[in-house]
Amino acid sequence: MSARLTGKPVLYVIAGALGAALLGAAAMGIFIASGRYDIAAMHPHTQPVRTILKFLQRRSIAFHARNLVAPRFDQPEVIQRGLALYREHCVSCHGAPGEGRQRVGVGLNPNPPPLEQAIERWSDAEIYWTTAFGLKMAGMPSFLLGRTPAEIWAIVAFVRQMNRLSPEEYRRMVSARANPSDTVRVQWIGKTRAEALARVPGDPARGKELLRTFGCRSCHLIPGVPGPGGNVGPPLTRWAERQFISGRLVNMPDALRTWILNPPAIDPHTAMPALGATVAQADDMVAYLYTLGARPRERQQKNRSR
Amino acid sequence: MTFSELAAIVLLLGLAGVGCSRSPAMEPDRNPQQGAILLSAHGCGSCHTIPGVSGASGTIGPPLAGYARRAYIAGKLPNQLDNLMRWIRDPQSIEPGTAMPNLPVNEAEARAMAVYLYTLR
Repeated sequence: MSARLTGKPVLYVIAGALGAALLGAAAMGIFIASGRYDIAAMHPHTQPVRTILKFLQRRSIAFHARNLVAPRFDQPEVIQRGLALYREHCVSCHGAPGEGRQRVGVGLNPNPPPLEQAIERWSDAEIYWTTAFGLKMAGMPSFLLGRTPAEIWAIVAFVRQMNRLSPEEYRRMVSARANPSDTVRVQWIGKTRAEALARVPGDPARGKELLRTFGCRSCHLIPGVPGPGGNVGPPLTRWAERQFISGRLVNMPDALRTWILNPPAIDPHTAMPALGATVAQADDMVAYLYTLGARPRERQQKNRSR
Repeated sequence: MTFSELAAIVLLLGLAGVGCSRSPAMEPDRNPQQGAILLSAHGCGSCHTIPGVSGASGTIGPPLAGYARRAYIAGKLPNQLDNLMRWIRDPQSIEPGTAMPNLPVNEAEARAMAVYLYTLR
């Protein structure tokens, strides 16, 4: 048996495979030399290229950040320093709640992602590593050059807080920093979405029924709640993953309850009316909506296992 | 040549084979595909999930699936072409303080994007 395996047929197979590999490599070389590959940033990558690049990025960042340990950085002065550095280095490409990128950040491929949900996808160490060392072929520079590790951790501290910043709160932070004698009240550290969604009050089963009886379904598509219509307002698919409510409030249990109880109190011109629900009923609806999609912690774990 | 250099070359060759895409026509016509490319290039997909737009799986703002049938823009304007173009170009003037930032989109681009969004039923 083993004598036959080491005989000629095996050699043919190996030679054939080598030949095919060489031919393939030569064909690729000719293809590259032809210049037909579209390198334009404006045109999206094809799906297979996107998938490979994203996988490479995720694995590389996870591997290289594996031994980094975050120092304590949940102090107001660290976050203030982080905000200043963020505005100096990051906002021009990544923007901020309600603040657009500048021209330099437009038209990059890959597109610099908004960072409101960075902590729902990456660990603190991974955000630090990416900020400190940058990403090859992604337009992301290394910000450790000319900076100290403590300054990079301050940026991470601010990016963590972005997860719970409404456009309004962000503006307040910026103006408080620009003018320290400003009397606006700023809360430098708060509960992030990732923390707030770890425990949601209310009963999802009752909430699902209430969403039907209050007629929410006639304006919104809601997975799991059947009915006609649903095209007046936005679909509520993957609701737990949504960052903002009506573009104003950060999507957390308390804010969502407030919104459901009286939307015009928050956005006077909204088409969504107050429904006359009780606080307990609103909490139940909130509980059901957060069963849609992945909550921040689940999202991070899902990212990890990918 | 080290193993890692070899591996890198093999990977690049592999990418080359799958990376060849047709360049879209650049004239600002009303071909909806032009709008899909612009939605991707302007980064709309980092906040919105948009069917048929490369990489558009964002969850910061609402999903734009079925947009042609949506009654309101930002919960207040009737969903019509001119309103949608205004919203895309200058959301802050319609809803001051909204999380959606003003982006440098010109009129032709806004039109192409809106035309694409109205193909989503």
